[in-house]
Amino acid sequence: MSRIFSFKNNVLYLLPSMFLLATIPSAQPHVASITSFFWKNQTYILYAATAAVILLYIYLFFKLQYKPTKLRATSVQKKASKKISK
Amino acid sequence: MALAMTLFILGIGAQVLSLFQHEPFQAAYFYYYIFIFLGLVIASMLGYKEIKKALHGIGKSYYIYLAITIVLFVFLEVAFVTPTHLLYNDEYIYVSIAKMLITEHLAAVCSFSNATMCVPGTAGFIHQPLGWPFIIAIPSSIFGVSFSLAYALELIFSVLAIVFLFYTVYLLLMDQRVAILASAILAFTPLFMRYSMSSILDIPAVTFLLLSTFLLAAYMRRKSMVVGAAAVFAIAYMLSIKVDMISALAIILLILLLDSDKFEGVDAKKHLKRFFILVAIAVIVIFPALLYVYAASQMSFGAPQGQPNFSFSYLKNDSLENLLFWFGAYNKVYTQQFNSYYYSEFPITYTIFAIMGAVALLRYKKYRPFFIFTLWFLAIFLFYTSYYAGGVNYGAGDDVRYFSSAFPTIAVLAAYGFASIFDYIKIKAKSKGKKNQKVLKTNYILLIIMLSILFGEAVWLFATVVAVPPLHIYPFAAERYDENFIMQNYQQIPSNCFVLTFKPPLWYILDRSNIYAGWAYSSSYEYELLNMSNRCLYFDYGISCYINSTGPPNTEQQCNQVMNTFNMYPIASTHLDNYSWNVSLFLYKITGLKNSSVNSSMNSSA
Repeated sequence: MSRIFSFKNNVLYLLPSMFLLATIPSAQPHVASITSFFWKNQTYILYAATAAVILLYIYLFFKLQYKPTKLRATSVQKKASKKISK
Repeated sequence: MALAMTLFILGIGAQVLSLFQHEPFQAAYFYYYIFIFLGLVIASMLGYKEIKKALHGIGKSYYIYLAITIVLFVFLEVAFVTPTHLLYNDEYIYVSIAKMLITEHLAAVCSFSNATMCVPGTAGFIHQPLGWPFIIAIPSSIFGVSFSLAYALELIFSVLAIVFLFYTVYLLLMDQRVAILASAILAFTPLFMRYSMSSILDIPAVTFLLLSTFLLAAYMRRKSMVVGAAAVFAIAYMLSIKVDMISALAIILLILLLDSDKFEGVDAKKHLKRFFILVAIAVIVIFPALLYVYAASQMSFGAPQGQPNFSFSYLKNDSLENLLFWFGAYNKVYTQQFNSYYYSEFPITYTIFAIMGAVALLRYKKYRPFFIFTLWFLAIFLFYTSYYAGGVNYGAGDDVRYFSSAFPTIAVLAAYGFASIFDYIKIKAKSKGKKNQKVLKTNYILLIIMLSILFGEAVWLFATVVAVPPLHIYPFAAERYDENFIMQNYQQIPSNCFVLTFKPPLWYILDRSNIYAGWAYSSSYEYELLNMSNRCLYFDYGISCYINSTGPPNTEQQCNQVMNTFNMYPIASTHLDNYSWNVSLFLYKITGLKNSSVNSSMNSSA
């Protein structure tokens, strides 16, 4: 499921499919109703899109720029801790 | 609900805008510019060692190449390009505000002043923030306010832009060859060279954008708080140069997101915590600059009545035109209306190399710089193409300057493309098993050929377009002629007499008392005017009497009203018969009020 909704799949398949759908005559009224919904509510959609972009930015920032390395115990420290536990 | 919300937001907007019309707010912004300028200088000085460490690794020879580039750039500019105003009436308004900042300590524009001071309570808000006038004001406080000083500063800031691009590219790509070539491409971009000999905002805007990207990249490299603080002040100053630099925030966020220097290692958490402190500081420091942008957005920028400033339909209509600009489609455009040519020049070779550079970045899997530089271009392109005046041919090409912020990214991509192709051919030649000596010779020949291809068109455009004398520049030709006429004749007017004009800032710079012509017969100002002028009045019958520059009532109507109110005779005149203009410009001495069609209150005062 997660693979179907991956970013790559969306870009590669879903978006072009939607454009193709828009060219089918029987789908035109549905496309028109979606478009008119967009134009009627564009202020709210703009707010929602802005919020989504901010959240996406924060998510990407942590994913791409934050790479903490945890301190790993050296072999000497590991041996010492084993001795203590014994 | 949506209507109520819009009204609420508009209500706040009007309140904020009105705040900027009052002196305490205008004075507060004068101190704000001092604060961010000093903040930038002090933080940069304190962070000097860290910045130097971040730039560690640049070879001495590359500093020599940079110096050669700068010397050649300055030589070409000073020797072949005559400085002139390219944007009317904005450029002299910025210089007049520099005088306001020095004499009145107010960040505002004056439209009613005697020779020494702006009449209290009459200074007004201008839709552009005043960071650039503040910079002009600093040396002006020593050398005096003049156009030549503003031109010199613009040239200095162009040089700084070239230097900051070199550092930015080095920090983002870690390739000094690409960095120096990108700087050279920016320096020899014909439009960049043309703007560098004016005093428009776009050059300092690019400089502060590149200073911000450079300091931000240096911060990401060293994670030094002082360098981070310098970057914050640089961003605040960038936003204080031009309202539309708000779009450059996208570039700043891109670099923050995609810089190859990350918050990593054992100190990642500590650095991230400090970073959030910096973000908090940034919000506080940048807030006044954003408030100014918000107040400016409440004013009309001249969009056609009933139409928005930004729209998807502008984007749809202007996209192709703006795309073709980068392929040199408007290097020479003929306008039938004025039987003249204008130039929105850009070398196609830069764009072709830039496309190759983008492909090469992908090919070598340098995804982060690829996205930084391509999205940088896209952000600028989409922002201005969505703007009502963002078409490259809008206003006979004078608005092509908006794309100045995209010149650096094209320069970087073109430089990368150039370096990649050069390396590819070099490797191919080497693999053919030629002797070392022969390979070296071939490389030099190859470099010269490729540089000739890269810069050939730019050199041609410089010689044929950039170096043309100001009187042959078509956009604002009439305004330029009008300004020259005033510069040649203003000394005939005594400084204690008042000039009724549609260009008060220009007369303010020239130390002549003046009032906006439309205010002369308004009840709010006429008593003060008659009192201060001792009835010694002149009228500047300029190009605004032929062009409806504001309204309603427009300047043409206001001009006619002045002509119908006063008796006057000309003390100087000129005739413009060029670019389909056939108009006469005058400086009149006002002798008294006309008996007919007289403003009743003015009559009784007189």
